[in-house]
Amino acid sequence: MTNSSALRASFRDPSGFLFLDNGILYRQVNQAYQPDYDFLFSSGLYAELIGKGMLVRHEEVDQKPFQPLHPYKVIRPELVEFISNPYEWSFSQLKDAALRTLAIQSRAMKKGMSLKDASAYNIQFHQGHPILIDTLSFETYHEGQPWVAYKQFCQHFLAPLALIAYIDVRLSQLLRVYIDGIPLDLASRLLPARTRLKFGLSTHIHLHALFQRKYASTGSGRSNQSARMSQTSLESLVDNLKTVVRSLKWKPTGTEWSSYYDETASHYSDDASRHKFEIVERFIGKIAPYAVWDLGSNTGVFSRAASKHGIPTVAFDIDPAAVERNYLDCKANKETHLLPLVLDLTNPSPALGWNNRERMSLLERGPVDCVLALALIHHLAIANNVPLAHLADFFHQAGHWLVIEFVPKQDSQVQILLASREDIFPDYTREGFEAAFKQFFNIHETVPVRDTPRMIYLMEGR
Amino acid sequence: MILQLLGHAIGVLTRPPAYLDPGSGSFLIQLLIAVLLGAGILLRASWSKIKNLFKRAKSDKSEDNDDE
Repeated sequence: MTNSSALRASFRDPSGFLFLDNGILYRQVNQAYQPDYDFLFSSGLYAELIGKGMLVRHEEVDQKPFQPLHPYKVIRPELVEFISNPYEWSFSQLKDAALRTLAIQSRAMKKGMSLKDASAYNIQFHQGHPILIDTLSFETYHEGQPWVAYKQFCQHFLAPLALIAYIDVRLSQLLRVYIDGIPLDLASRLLPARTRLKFGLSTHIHLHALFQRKYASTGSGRSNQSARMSQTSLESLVDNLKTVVRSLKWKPTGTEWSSYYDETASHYSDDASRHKFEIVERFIGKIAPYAVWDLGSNTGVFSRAASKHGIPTVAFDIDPAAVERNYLDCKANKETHLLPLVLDLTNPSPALGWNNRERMSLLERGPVDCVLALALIHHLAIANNVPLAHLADFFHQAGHWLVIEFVPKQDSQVQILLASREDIFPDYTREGFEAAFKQFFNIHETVPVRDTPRMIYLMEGR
Repeated sequence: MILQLLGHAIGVLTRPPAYLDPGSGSFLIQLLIAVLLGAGILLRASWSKIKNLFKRAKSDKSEDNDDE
C-alpha cells in the first residue's frame, strides 16, 4: 500500500511529472531533463525569474521518486492557492497571463534558454499575479531554432484574446472545448475581415492558419533543418507578439450584471449593504476559514469580507464583465488574497481532457472550508428551477461551512424574477429553505439584514 | 506595401520540400514574420532618414523605436 499518486494532468512531458505523497505535492525530474534542469540554475534564469515573481519557487527534497525508473531529482514546488483554468479567466487575466508568458520567454532567451511549452494551463494566479507553475518548461536554446511553443502560444492566448476583442467575450469558452487552445483555422474563419488588415493578426493568426494548412499535407519527417532563424529575429517575433497582445482591448458593456450594484443601490440602502457586510465579516471571523469560495460574487464586494483579512478567497461569477471589473480592482488595489473567476453555477467547469482526468471539475478542486452564497439562491431556485434540496446538496459538496442569504419572495429582486413567469415554487419559503438545508447542515445562527426581508444564515455541514 | 511583401514571401515558400511535418507551417510562418519585421525596421529607419533630410537642425531626435 502506498499513499502516492501521480497527478492526472501531468503525463505528457517526458521531463518529469507531478505526484502526491501523503498529501504533499512533489515534482519528479527525470534524467532525460538533467542538462536543461541544471542549466536553468547555472544560467541564473531560475534566480532571476524567482526574483521577479514570474516562476513558482521550489526546493529540492530528499523524497523517494514516484517512478524509480530514470529519476534525477525530486522537487517540492510552492503551492498556489487555487488551480484555475483559462476559460475561467476574464479578458485581462488571460491577457496578463499571455504577457507574462512572453516576458518569461524574453528573459529565458537572454539566458540561453527557451520555453518549450506556452500552455495557458502552465500559468496560475498566485498572490494576485500570473506565475509559471511548470519548472520543467524550459529547454536550452540553440541559435537558429524557431520558437517551438509559438503555435501553442497563438492557440492558447492570441486566438482567444482576439476573438474576445473583436467578436464576443463568450468565445473564451471555446477554450473549454479545445483543451490545446483554439485551432487557428477556426479563429481565422471567425475573426472579422478587418483583422486581416492588422499586421499582427493577419500574420500570427490568418497567415499562420494558412501555412499550417498548406504544409500539413506535404508528407512526414522531421522539421526542416534549413528553417533557421537568428536570436535577434526570434526576439523581434516575441516583441511583436507582446505589441499585438497589448493592442487587444475589451471593454465590458451591456452585459447582464455589470451595473448590478448601481441598480440595486436604489433598492437597498447603504445601511443595509453595510449591515450585510458586517454580518458576513462577523461570521467569517467566527469560523476563521483557511479558504473561502464566494459563489455569485458579482464584483466581489462581500468576498472582501474574507480576503481583506488575508484569507485566500476565490470570487466566482457568471458575468465576465463583473469578473473583469473585480480583477482590475484587485490589480489597482494590489490585493493578493482574492482571485476573481468566471463560472456558471448552473453548468460548472467539468472534468476535461484525456480520460476525463486532465483538468479538474469545480467540485474536484474542493471542498473548500467556507462557501459564501449571498444574493444567489433566488437565481438558482427561481430563475433556474433548481429544487432547494439540490442546492443544499451542492453547497454541502462544495464546502464545510456555509454563509448563505435567503432572499424571500417578497423581496423586490425576487419579484422581478417572478414577474415574467408563473410562480411554481410553493416550497420557496423560509420554512421550506430551512427544512431543505437542515438535511445537510446544522444551522448555527440566523441574522436578518436591516431594512430588508432577507436573512443570512451561518451553517455547518453535517 | 506589406501585402506586396507578403505576396512575394508566400511566392518563395509555395513549393515546400516534401519532408516537412505538420508543425512546419508554424515554423515557416515565424521565419516569414521575422523577415517582415526586419524589413519593417529597415523601412522605418530609411523613412526617418528621408524625413530628417527635410528637417533642419533637429538632428538629435531619432525615431528608431519600433515598439512601445
